[in-house]
Amino acid sequence: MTPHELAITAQNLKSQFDLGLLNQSEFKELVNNVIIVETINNDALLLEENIVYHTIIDNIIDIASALV
Amino acid sequence: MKIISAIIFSLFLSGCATLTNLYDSYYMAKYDTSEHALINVITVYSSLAKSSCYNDRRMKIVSKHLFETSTELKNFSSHLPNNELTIKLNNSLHIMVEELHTRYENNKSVNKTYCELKLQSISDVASIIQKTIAKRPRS
Repeated sequence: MTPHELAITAQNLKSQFDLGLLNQSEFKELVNNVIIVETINNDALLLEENIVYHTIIDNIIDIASALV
Repeated sequence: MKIISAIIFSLFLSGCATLTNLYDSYYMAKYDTSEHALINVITVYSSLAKSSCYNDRRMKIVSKHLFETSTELKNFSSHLPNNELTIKLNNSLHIMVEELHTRYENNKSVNKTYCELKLQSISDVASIIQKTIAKRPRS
């Protein structure tokens, strides 16, 4: 999520709070969740990177085994 | 001389980091059907539950079920070797599910907007984790 998208999400939550659709503790929790979702997104990307590395190493080992 | 030493030292350090990274990648926890099944329950259930947000009593049951499944997933994945990143992901998801559960356990009424937005966040996060878990190497 870009900083601009983050700002829009936070603004949407603020609007819901201003309209009385969320109370203060719910609003705070949901804003905090936006940060958690971003952290999870980054960690998931790291895990995917590791999966790609694993596949590359596996392929190298396969090729090396075929050559021997 | 100092500059050359610094360059060699930094290369050495980055080399170690890359080697550790490759080691972790190669020996990472493999795909696990039970782990995938548990995260799938959370994805599906949180997505379907949005239509029950108008009913607090029903949502109390739903949030309890989500909390139990999330706890089961957290416990299950934390005992798989070389599974650190997935454990981190599942712990973050568990925090969100626990917040929802606590709110329905402690409050008499919860705002419908909160319920819908919270379930949407849980569903999005569970979906991200599920996609990543499903890609893990089979063998």
